[in-house]
Amino acid sequence: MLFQVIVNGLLMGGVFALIAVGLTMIHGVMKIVNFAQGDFLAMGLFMTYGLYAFMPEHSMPYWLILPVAAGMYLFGMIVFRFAIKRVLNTGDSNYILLTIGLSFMIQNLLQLIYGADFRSIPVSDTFRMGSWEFLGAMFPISRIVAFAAAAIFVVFVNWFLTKTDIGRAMRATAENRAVAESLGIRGGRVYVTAFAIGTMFAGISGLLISPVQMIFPTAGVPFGLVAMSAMVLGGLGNIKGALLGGLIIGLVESFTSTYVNIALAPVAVNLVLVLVLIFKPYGLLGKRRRTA
Amino acid sequence: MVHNEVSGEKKKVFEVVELDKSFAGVHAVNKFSFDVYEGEILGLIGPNGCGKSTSVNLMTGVYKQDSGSIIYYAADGTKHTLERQSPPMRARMGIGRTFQTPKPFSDMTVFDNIFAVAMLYNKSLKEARNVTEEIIEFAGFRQIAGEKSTKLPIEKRKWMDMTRVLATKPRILMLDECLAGLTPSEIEESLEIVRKINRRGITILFIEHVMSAVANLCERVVVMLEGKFLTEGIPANVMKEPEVIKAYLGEDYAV
Amino acid sequence: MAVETFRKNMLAIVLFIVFLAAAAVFPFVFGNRYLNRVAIDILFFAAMGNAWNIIGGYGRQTSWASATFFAIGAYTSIMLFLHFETSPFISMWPGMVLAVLMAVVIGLPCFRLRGVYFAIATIAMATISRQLLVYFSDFTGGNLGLSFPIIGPANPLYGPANLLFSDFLLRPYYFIALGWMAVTVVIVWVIEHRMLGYHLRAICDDQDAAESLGIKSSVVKLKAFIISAMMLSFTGTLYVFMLRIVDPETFASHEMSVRIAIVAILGGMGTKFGPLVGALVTIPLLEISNNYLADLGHGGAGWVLYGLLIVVIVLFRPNGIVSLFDSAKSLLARNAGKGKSGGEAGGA
Repeated sequence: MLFQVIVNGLLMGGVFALIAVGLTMIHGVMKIVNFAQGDFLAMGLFMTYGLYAFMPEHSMPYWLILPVAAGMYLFGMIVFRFAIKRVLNTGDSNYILLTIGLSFMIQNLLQLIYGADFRSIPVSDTFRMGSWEFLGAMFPISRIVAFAAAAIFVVFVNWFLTKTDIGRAMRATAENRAVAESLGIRGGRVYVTAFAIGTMFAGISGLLISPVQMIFPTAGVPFGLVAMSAMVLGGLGNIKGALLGGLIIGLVESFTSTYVNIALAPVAVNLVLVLVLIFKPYGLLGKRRRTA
Repeated sequence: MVHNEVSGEKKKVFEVVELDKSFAGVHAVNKFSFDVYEGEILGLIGPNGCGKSTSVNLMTGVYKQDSGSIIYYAADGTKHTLERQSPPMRARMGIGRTFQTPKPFSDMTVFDNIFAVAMLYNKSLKEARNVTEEIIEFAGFRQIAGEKSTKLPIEKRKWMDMTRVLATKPRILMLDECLAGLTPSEIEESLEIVRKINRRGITILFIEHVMSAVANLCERVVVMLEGKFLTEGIPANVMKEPEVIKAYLGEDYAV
Repeated sequence: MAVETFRKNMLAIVLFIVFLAAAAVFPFVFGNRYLNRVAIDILFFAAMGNAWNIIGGYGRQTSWASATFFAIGAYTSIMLFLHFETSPFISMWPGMVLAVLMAVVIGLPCFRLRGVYFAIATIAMATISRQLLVYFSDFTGGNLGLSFPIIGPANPLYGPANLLFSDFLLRPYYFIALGWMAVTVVIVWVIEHRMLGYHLRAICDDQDAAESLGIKSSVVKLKAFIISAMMLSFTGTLYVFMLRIVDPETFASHEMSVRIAIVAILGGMGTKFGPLVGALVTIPLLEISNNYLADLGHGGAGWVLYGLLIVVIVLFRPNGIVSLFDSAKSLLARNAGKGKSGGEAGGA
């Protein structure tokens, strides 16, 4: 039983990690917390839902990854160009208001277009119900695929940031934009790429959970909170930390659902966030930033 | 407990002993010791990056030292060992400072900049207003008292920084490289303001790396190099020491 | 300097007094319950916007838990009334105490850190509170909430002591709302002109400088947050006795927090009259779009507009509608009285 709880937690935690990593990339490079990250996930869900209608019956939604990823990347670029860019470096409250306003808009636009009814993607029952048994625990296939895909993306991010030019440019810009620019790195392009990737990851997370997630306008809200919790838990701007944070939150949610009360699972997740803020605001892996 | 550290005739304000601080492998302040005596204008000099500002930040509580002690003798004679006290707490003890770049409260007028501080250190708003008026007179700000501080030219912003801190009734004022970007006549005026402040009984710790200003102003200087104490004495003597010349100008100039 | 501030604000003060006079007459002009109800909402939201402004506008620490404090006041009062017939004048105190406690729990850790931590923490706290309100349904009535029926003049509980009136046109509640709104403006005014207001501005302008001068920024922010929380809780108490019903969706939702914040954001953060202007614009906007755009899609077009408004304000007019007045004023001033202090101090 315990093993099952852990498995459940880690499988879900993998997806949490992916959306948290997206959020962390954005924060790491441009020092803003994207309060609309959860709603970007919801957009991914709805995109998947909308495009799925064109697919042959009972097929797997994962084939839609290309259009969803591309669509969300493009959306991220547009949002950055017309909104985010203008509030960078204008103080904390501006971007907070902007992204919360965006979040509110997206939720209610989805509501306007689709209504509040719960929808779902009609995948085949074998896929929805199917699971492997291993060491006494059930591993639902859909969740394994989600976890595996999330893991692949996280590995990709690590490679991207360490081995590619633009990834390294991102890290340099995150450290010190002025210096990076003096070295010839064009800050503007780095910023928009980071934001677009972060947006894309949220959308992909939506796609990955679409077979098992109820689809409705505010479906992304808990994930947005989870992403923020995971990011704070792992230390703002720290990719590995976000990964760890996502897994931990997944475990917290799983344990609370099983051993306490499923209704209190969201409370537990938010409580973790509050406790981290009180006792370890720089996160488990984060470093205290120099003042002055 | 009243506790006087007497050296000759003078009382100490600060006693810094073996102060040590590193940042990510850079040993910014290296077992640095020096004393500040009441009423003096002490220069803390040294080439760029030698740890002067870090020392000030340690003394004012912006950073916490890795090791070493900072002892402060308040106006009433009490002895304080400074380690965990936050910058606001130290300011309220009478430790005042300015920053390398001017930091006005941009949205406020010159008057309000000073008034906002005076409110904290006076029992009634009326008293605070009086204190503010007095500082405005002292600084010669009567004409610009109603100006938004962002509209001020740089030298006035620096002078406002220096005089605003007077509202905290400081015992010591640490001026961190306050002459950057000023014309020679503005430098002269700044030094005069510093002397005026000193004449009110406020000890001055003057951090600078421009020698000529220091020579004009300071009775005594302490020289730092690479985070360590190098030498101290009166400016005329210190500036002739070969080690000091080498530190500033390189090997070639040492005689 | 007090004289100077008075002169600067003269126009605003005059307009405010004119507004109050007009408002005092309003409920008698149309004799329409619906219009009065909307007007009451405008006034209550203006009051709550003023409360939000103290920490969110003057302090630049955006709070997204306003609804939580509002709900605390409402739930505490209605629960005490239902069980013990407690008068709102008494039950408002435990509500405010609870609100202060929550404010301290969130504020103490967060105000040492960057502003975004506070925003995140308020969202987390608001979410937890809402879920707990639903979870402990035995006490709180869960999703359905709590309510009490109309209490008529025959009932001994009826009367001003319990803020229970039976006027169909809701006029007593209107004047309560008007009075409270005016009081909140005065509270903000007082704060602006005393130490708390000055220190809030100093911290927002340059926190490092403020701290080097002895201003403890976390303490200042906490004070502002506590005052804000108390005001919101008090409003909740007043509101629930008018509405006679409380439920998590109306009182404790994220929508509610956004509604409260947007009143100040749109109207003018860090200004005395911004929230009133903001309420005058946003509440009717929501009503109109709910009525006329209800058929658009699945409904909720008004909320989309709210979100869009926030985005537009932040991008183009971060100082809110009130700043339009300021720009107009300075345009007029420049044309009217040329050069008393023109170019004296030189460029920066």
